[in-house]
Amino acid sequence: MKTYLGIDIGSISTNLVLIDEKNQVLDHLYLRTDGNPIKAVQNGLKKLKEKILGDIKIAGVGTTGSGRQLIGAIVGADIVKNEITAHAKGALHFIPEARTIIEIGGQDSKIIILRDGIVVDFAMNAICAAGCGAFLDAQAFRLKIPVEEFGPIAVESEKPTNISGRCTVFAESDMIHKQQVGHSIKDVVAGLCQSLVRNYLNNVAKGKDIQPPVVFQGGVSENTGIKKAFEKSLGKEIIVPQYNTVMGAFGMALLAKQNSKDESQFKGFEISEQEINCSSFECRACPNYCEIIEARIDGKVASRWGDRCGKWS
Amino acid sequence: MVKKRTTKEKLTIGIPRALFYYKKPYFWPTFFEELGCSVIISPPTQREILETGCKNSEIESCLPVKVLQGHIFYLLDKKIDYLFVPRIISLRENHSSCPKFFGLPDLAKLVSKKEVKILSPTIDFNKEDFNKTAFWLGWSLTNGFPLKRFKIIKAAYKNAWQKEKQAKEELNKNYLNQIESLERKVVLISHPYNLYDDFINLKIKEKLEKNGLEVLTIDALPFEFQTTFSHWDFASEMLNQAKEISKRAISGAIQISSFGCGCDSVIKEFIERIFREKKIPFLSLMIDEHTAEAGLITRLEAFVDTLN
Repeated sequence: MKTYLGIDIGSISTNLVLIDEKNQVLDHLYLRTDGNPIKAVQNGLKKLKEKILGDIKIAGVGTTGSGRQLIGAIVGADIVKNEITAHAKGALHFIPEARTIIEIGGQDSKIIILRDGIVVDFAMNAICAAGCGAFLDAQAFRLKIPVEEFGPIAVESEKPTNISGRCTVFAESDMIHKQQVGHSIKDVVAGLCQSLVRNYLNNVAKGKDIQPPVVFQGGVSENTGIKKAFEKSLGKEIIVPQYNTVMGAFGMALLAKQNSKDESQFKGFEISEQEINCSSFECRACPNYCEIIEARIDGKVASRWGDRCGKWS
Repeated sequence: MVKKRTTKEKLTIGIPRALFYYKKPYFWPTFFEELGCSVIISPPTQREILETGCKNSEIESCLPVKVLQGHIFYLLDKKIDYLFVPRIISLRENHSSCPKFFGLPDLAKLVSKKEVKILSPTIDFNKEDFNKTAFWLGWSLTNGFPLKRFKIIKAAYKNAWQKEKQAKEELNKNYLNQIESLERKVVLISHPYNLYDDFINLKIKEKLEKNGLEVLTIDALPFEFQTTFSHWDFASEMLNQAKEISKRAISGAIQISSFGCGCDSVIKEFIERIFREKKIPFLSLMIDEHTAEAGLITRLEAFVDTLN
């Protein structure tokens, strides 16, 4: 059976989605990147191999996310695409009439505006990653609440506390302060959800025409508290589609299928067993001192990148 | 200010390749050379220059000023008699330049050694015609020349302008070719010192061209200047050009602003509105000291995908 693999390597999670020729999801994985994208992908491939029974052939691989170049080079991707295109592709498969996509991941948050199934505009958070999953994660850790329970706790609150949403440093000190003066955890968590939504709408979605249907995806869309806060602020129904947390990887699998050629460049499931090392060095050939990254599979140079001039890549 | 010298004595003038340089890249070097000075222009920005600039700048400075600082340090290591850092108050009547431009000579003075003097004519179109400003600068540089000082300066001014004009005409001609081509066109909007400094803008032009796009730069557009609501000279120019080009057949517009630019933070919004009204896809990018290209590439790729 011919199958297509999409991998989304993000700052917090690494996701793999395997689809068949009818675009049916055969399997999907949501794994923590834990700061080691290569290890995460190796783990993912290993798990996928164990779970998939029967004779399958990978006919195409696509990578996206902030680690897309690195992993693309290592697994032998046929197509490497940015997250916006991948997320839009995935969402449109489930909700073809979607006009707005809200995507909040670990470090990036995006708004994608679609009209008639075509991306016409988008925006991403600028310099600051305030209000993304990584911050929620950090707060969950601080409060000793599993991040998965953030949503249910927030939804319970009737009087969310006011928390500053402009900057995570301020938000955190605000949260601590509110806790110290006696606000309940659920009100503080709900307040945090509202402040993240406020921050998103003011900074990322600033000036954009948010028209329904509004689709909400990315890791943070698992959080029902944030979903509720969005619905309250926008006064619109928010759709969280199936496979919401792995939508980028799903979109990539679709793109890999659409783009498939006779022979995939996929290096096979064996790479999960191989030793992959990445190292970097500074090229001193000119005063730019580019940081060159070198990936070695079992000691052999597989790929190099990072140079401005193309000498090494 | 400038010491007396004879025609035989050569003065070396250092020009930092940053900020104001990109506004008139041909005029000043030619002008000084015609007056018998030798000119050293710092090389295009590279990492060392940027790092020195950042290290020796005040944190709150905008990126272009930090870059300038780096170029100044580069030139101070060379054998120069003068460092050219004009005090630009206004480049258009009834307009004003960015306030940071007012203080650049003072900034240069603070970091330079005693042997190096700062050559800092005040350029203010509200008070004095540019040819007069240039003339008095030329006059001081030829102090000690026996005869024909007047003639030498006049010729230098004329030739310098000629060169600048030729370059501008070349750009405009290029624009006419581009606008007629059948390729998809994207207009890049920013200050010349961001548009033409490839290290700072991470070779954005090249990246777009690789995606099969024809790239127009806003300052190469040949439209007549008309006053706008903005009192900033460069903002007015940008708004004007943006308004005109938005009426032409272009596929998209990309605005680059540098982190910490006060003027851009205001103007950005108005530029965006011009293109939004015409339903032209618009992307706003922010550049900073960081050299990681990943974020920029993601945005550019996605933008190119929306054009398709």
